[in-house]
Amino acid sequence: MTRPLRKISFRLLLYASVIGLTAVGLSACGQSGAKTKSSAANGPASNAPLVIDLGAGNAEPSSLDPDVDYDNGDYGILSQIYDQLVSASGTTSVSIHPSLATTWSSSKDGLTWTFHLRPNVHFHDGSLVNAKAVKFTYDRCLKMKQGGWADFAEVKSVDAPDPLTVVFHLKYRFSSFLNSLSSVNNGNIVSPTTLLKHQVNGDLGAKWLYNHDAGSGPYELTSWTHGQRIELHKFPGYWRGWKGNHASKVVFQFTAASATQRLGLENGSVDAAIGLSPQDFSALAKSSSVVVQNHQSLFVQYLALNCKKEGPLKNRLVRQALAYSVNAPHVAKFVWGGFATVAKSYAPTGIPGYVESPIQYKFDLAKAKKLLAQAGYAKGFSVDGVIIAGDQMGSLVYQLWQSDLSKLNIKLNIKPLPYPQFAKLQQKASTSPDIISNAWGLDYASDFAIYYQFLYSKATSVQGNWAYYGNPKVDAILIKARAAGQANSPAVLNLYRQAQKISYGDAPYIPMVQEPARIAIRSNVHGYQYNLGETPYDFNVYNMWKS
Amino acid sequence: MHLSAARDFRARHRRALKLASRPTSLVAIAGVVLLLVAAVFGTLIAPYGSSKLDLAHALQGPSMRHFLGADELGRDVFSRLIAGARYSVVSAASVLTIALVVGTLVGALAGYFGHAVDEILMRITDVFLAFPSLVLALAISVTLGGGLQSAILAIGAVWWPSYARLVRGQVLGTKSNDYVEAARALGVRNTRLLVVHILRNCMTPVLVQLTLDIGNVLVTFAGLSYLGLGAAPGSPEWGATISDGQIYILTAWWIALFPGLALYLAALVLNLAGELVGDILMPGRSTRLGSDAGRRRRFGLRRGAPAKPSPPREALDF
Repeated sequence: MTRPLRKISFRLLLYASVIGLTAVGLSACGQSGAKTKSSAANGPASNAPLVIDLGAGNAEPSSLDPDVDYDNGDYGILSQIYDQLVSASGTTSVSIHPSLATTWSSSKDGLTWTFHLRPNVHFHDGSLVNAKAVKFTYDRCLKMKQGGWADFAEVKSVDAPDPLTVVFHLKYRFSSFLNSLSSVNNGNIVSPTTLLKHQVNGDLGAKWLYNHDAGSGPYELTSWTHGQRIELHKFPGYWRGWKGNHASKVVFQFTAASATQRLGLENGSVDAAIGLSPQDFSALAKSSSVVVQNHQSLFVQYLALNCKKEGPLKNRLVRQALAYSVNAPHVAKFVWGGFATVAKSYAPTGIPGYVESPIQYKFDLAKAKKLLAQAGYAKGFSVDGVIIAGDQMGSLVYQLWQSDLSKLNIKLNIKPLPYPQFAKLQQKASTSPDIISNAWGLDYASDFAIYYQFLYSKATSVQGNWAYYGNPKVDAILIKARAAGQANSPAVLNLYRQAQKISYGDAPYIPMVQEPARIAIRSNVHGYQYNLGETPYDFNVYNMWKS
Repeated sequence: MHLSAARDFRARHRRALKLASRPTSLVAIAGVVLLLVAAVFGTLIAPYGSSKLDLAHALQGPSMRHFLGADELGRDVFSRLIAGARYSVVSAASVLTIALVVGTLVGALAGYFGHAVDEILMRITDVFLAFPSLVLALAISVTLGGGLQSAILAIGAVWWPSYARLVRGQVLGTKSNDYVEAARALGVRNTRLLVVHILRNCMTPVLVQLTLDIGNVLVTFAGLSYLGLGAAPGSPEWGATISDGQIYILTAWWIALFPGLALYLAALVLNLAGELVGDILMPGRSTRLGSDAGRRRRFGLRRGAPAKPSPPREALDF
């Protein structure tokens, strides 16, 4: 600006601003209150692609290679492209169903599992899904050692004695083995024909599979526009067939804010969405063109306290004091808008092996003060609370907690860190953050995927034991439970009860709430069924269609 | 006595006062005063503490209890707005101090010593200027660990090059003047020559640039906070509150709107104030380079300057 503003230009600027702001304001009000186009409730099926918005959180896969990625959102896409031996499903509690395997049995000692495969199933490339392909899949997973491969650390070898029989040999008895085959990370059966054809330097097709597909599922990959969308189209040779109403094309978007999703749902550019804020969700509940569903998910929001690092948190009494200072009902009400439920266990409700902890911490600042004084920290201390950058819920949890902590003379410094930086620091106990606020998504719906991941002293670093907790008594109980029979048997439930009694006393983690999954679907979209067994991002697209 | 002193003041600064009484300028001055008052006395004026939770009234709109509404944890938006002013003013001042000090140092040394020193320093400056400023600020901020101090250092690091260039140009233009050579002939040493004789006579454009930049620094800092790399979460800094409030934009719009308006208006009045300062100190700004009167005014000849301007010549050789 080299010329000073003249009187007239300033007035012009002023008027322009006022008009501009008014226009923006009116259009915003207009959008939310406008009558949306009425949609045919049950007309004939439409061929337009189904548009599903997964939100900007963690939903875009880092890779389409099922043996590489490790984010919970990835399964929402992979489940459309691949099949697994078994599937886990249910709305409020999870059970295992046949998928590529029709029947199975295990030896008496639990070390050998035999699966019989469904005949006449084909991959997208035309080759048959047989025992060799299953063997190739698991060998690849264990060889590449990436993503969630540790879920199968107990597998010694896989055999394919005949084309429709697969045999797993385990190193030790593992009660959750069957559940682990439905993992959101691995166990997606890949086509050896395709992968070996595109192999480079013996990488088993890893470079190629990053953005291609080698599956047998209902949909094939059309395109992937990074940061925006993934498009899939139907695979005509899918083994379940296409009789009846099914979506023929689907577009997954990873756009953005809740407000954008809400506007998209209201004007019809988005057919289904997950990731709405509690407020937008409540507002959409009143809309006639959108149906909203709120379900429990397997995500538990918790605080991990670094038990090994030198500092006040190393002291058990201090951790207990912190546990008493968290107001979980407030977190459920003000951070999740009332849609979450207070957690009574490390585990989410609905999984086999769920049991409430015999010890519960109720919000009690007086008790917290007493414990701190006992530990010698009556004067308080300063501590860093880390969240992954972009985690707004985690940030709110800390802000809510900050004011209660200040009454105990504890200063909480909230530090958002980008994920790569966080992962690096988290590798060692001495550099790992003092407190981490996060929501843990289970790899598969069973006891082992939570208790073991959190409490086992050797499951440290990215695997899950972010508190660097280790108690030999708890380790012993977990190993016993791992080898036991059914997760829901009274004996096993009792073991987990004991494990929680001891570990809650040590307070390495403070579980706060079990997160809800808020799904919104336009009323002309049919067939959606929520699945607790995998992740909330997993839409049963094959059974969905729109009129 | 008093009256005549005041009249003298008015007489000597008649032009400045005239410029300052234009409506645009009055608005600008009022705005800046308001901003400074909020920054300095904010805590006294605000009805609530900026981090005082009032969960019972979370997400409520503007009302008697909460003048501009309450946010998701019941904190008063108005109080946070005022508290945010302090963050903004202090951060902008810190950033510009860094930029000014580093930029002047680099530019003065480069302009004065010339040759190798000039080449090296200017190439370093070019490296910084080659990056898009926001991207570079983000990268530096993340490397330094995020947080308020990192953001200030990062934006300061991105801002100093333009001052370096400006000061260098000014120094080059001033150092060839007769009075500088005369002083050198008299035996004045390098440092004193540089500071007293040269810099003091060419800082006017730098001052004007400074006032124009305040608004831009403010917005850049808010941008960094919006992306999560400035002030800590929960702090009332305007960029951070806009970012936190955006998921409620359709339901509790007051949380993000008011800090946004405040940011916009602050940048506007600061820019206008910068224009005013420029008009007062450098009236020849928009005239052709090289015009005698313009050049004389521009270089603000004061101490040690001869009564007659030196003959026109190519004083600016960048």
